[in-house]
Order: sequence, then C-alpha cells, then structure tokens
Amino acid sequence: MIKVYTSSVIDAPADAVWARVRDFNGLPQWTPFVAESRIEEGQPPDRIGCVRNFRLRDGGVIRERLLTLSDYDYQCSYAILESPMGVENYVATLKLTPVTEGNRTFAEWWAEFDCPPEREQALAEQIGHGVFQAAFDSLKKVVAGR
Amino acid sequence: VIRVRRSAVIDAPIERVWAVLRDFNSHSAWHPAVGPSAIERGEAPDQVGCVRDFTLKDGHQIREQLLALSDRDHVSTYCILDASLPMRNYVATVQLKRVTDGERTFWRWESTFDVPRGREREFEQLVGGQVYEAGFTGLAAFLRRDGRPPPPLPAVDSQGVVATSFGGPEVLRLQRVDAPAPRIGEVRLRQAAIGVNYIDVYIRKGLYRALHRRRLGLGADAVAGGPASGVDSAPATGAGVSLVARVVRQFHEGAEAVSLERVLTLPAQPTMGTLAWISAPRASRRRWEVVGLTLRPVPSGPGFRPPDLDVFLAYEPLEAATPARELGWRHPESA
Repeated sequence: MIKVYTSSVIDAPADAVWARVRDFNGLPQWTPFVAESRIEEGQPPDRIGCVRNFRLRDGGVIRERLLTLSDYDYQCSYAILESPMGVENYVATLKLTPVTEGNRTFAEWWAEFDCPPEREQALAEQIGHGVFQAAFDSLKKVVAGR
Repeated sequence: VIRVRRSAVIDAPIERVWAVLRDFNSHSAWHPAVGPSAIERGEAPDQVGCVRDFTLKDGHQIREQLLALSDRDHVSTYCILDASLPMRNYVATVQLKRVTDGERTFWRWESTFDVPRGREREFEQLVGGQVYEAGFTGLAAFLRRDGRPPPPLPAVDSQGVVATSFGGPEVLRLQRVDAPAPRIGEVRLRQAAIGVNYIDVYIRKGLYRALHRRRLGLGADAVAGGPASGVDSAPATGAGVSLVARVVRQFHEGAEAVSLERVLTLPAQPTMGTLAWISAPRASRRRWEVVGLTLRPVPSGPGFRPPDLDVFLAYEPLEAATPARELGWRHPESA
C-alpha cells in the first residue's frame, strides 16, 4: 500500500471551491484531462454509492464509486472500480479547509493503493503531479475566472 | 462554549514551522503578545504534561499544560490551568499540514472555552485576533528573521534639562538627551511636561546627599537614565499629573507576585516633548518587569488641563504598541 499526498492553496473561499468539486459528475468542468463524464444508472451525483464513468482526453475510461461525501467537512472519497492505470484497492480523498487569513482554501488530495513495487514511483508521480496537482492548477484558474 | 478557529498559510516548509511550534516554550520568542515564559520544574518543552508559566505583554498571567504532542501529525494540544483572564475550560489545538504545491505550511489554530455571559464576542475577537492571527504574523516574521530577535526600536532624539554640578538655576542646561529603545519589560514615554518637586530643588542645590546622582528628582531607582526635572519653582497652582509605574511580579522565583509602585508627579507646565524612562531597578532588571502605567490628573487649580501623555508598552514598534490606559491600569487611589 502506498500513499500519495498533494496539497495546495486555492485563492478563493472554501464554499466557492466546494461548490465546484462536490459535483461527482463535474470533472470535465474543472480538470484538464477529463473529456466527458456520466453517472451510471441515472443516479444523482451526490448519492453515496453512485458510480461516475468518465473518459480521459487520451481515451482511457475510468469508473469510480463515491464512498463518502461531506458538505460539513468539505470532503469526499471514492474508489476506483476500473481504470487503465493498473492499481488495486485505490481509494482517494479530496478535502477542502478554509484558510481564515485571506479567505482562501487549503486543498488536499490523497490516495492509497496497491501496485507492483517497480511501478510505485512512476504511479506516485503520475497521480500526485499528473492528476492531483494538474487538477488543482486547473481549479485555481476556474475559480479565479468565476 | 465558544469555539475559535483561525488558519493561515506560512511561507516556509512544515519542518521549519514545526521545529518552532513543537517547543512549548518558544512562544515568547515569536509571539508578539507573549512576554517572559518558563517551563515549570525544569521539564523539557516537548514533555507531555509540562506546564508553561508566562506573562502576556498586557500583564495577564497564564499557566498552560501540554496535553498532546504528535510529530507524526504535527499537532500540539494544550489547556489553560490558571489565568488572570476569566476563561474556563480552554483547550486549544495547533495543527500543521504540508502544502506540497510550493514549500508552504497550512496552520490551523483552534480552541473551545467558556467565558462569562455577555463577553463571548469580546473573547472570540481577543483569542482569534490578538492571539491566533497575531501569532501567525509573528511566527512568519520570526522565520523570515531566521529566528533572530526583532531589531530594537531606534533611539529617539529628545531634550532634557540636565545639571552636571550643584548650584542655583544657572547650572541647569537644556540639551539633547538620547531616549534609547526600550528593552523587554521597559517602556518609553512621550512626556508633554516634566516635573518639579521641592526635592528636585534640594538635589540641585546639593542638599540631598542620599540622592546624589545624575538621576535627579523622580524617585531615584524608578527612573534610570532619563532626563529629569529642573525648573526652579513649582507652578503656583500645584497642578500636576501622577504617573504610577506598577512594577509587579518576580518572574523567576516562583509564583508569588510582588508589587511595587512608584508615583512620579509631573507639573502641568508644558515644556519640551521630553522622553523619560521608567524601568525596573537596574540591579534587578532581569527580575522585574513593568507591566503597566497609569496617568491620572491630580486635583488642581483653575484652568488646569492634564497634558496629553502617551504611554507605550515596551518591545513593540510604537505604531503597534498598546497605550497603557487601554489596558485598564488605574491609579490605586482612584479605585
């Protein structure tokens, strides 16, 4: 089991950032790498247990199940059901915390998963930078332009 | 129950921030509101259960106990044992988190406690603003200075009437006198008028051998190195302002508070914007601290207006310092 942790500061109030990221079906609106997304079986995107099925710009398809969603803690977690990444037992959590000084947002995103040892470093890099940090960078631009 | 929560982002890696915050006795080095602090019984400042005993610069005294410390989670939890503030059941937590996007640190500081009914808002602002937010700023500045103490305030040009020999009024000379920057536990006063007492005249004439020093007038060991009085006659009205320096608390020798007061009388006769020192007796400067000063008009003749005197607490830039009168220090006779 390895853990990848990425955190950043978003220059917008936490409730505004949360309004963006709480939509489990909203990845195409704020990440640079998701082309389209839908929730399977017509479920609402904030129903615990729903599955998002999205296609990456590079063509890969990922299915993820919503495990927790807290409008109180500004936190959600989800598990990968299917993906081209070759990971097992992948569970990720995205959490926002208000920064009272400057009315900004501290954003954390971490994942735990299993993979063959020789792939650990490359996957940690890919997920930590290529996914989480890239999404944060994109999110900064999206909320700045609101 | 009041809950106070404040957070900030510090522009330094978590390792540097935590190295300071995990030391339960470091706050006097970086927090602008905290005066002297010591861990009781010589315990280590990262020993869970240790007690820090400290004085705020506004004079309040607090004892706090470390309840939990985690180097893994970067969390420190502590509570107040005793305080001269009316706060009860105060438990606070400091938590740091790494900001991987840039070498920064997220810092959350929160607490719950009780205060007397009707004072909730006052204490929410006090703790959130003057403790937590001021602490964020103070620690960020401390890290930028690389842990060095803040630069001292500059000396200020002022004028004083100085006598270097005994004699009549002709020995008095108006000259420039440096008012050096106050150190911890000292204050610098901007004085709109300076004092005359019969005793000053006696000293000038050389009649008072016991006070035969350059500290003319004002109660020899309460004023060190400052300009003193020196006009020949007191104003006919006798009008003046009493200046009370409450020098309290012997810090390093147990919890027993000792107080000592000195009253300085200044005339209403406006003179040169002079600065004077009030400080602890020089020989025991490390053991005493000035925690507050009060100005009070003395009943006086017709038309008397007390001069507008400002008193500042030490070791703060003048702009940020707190006038002592806002701290509620009052002359004991006016109570």
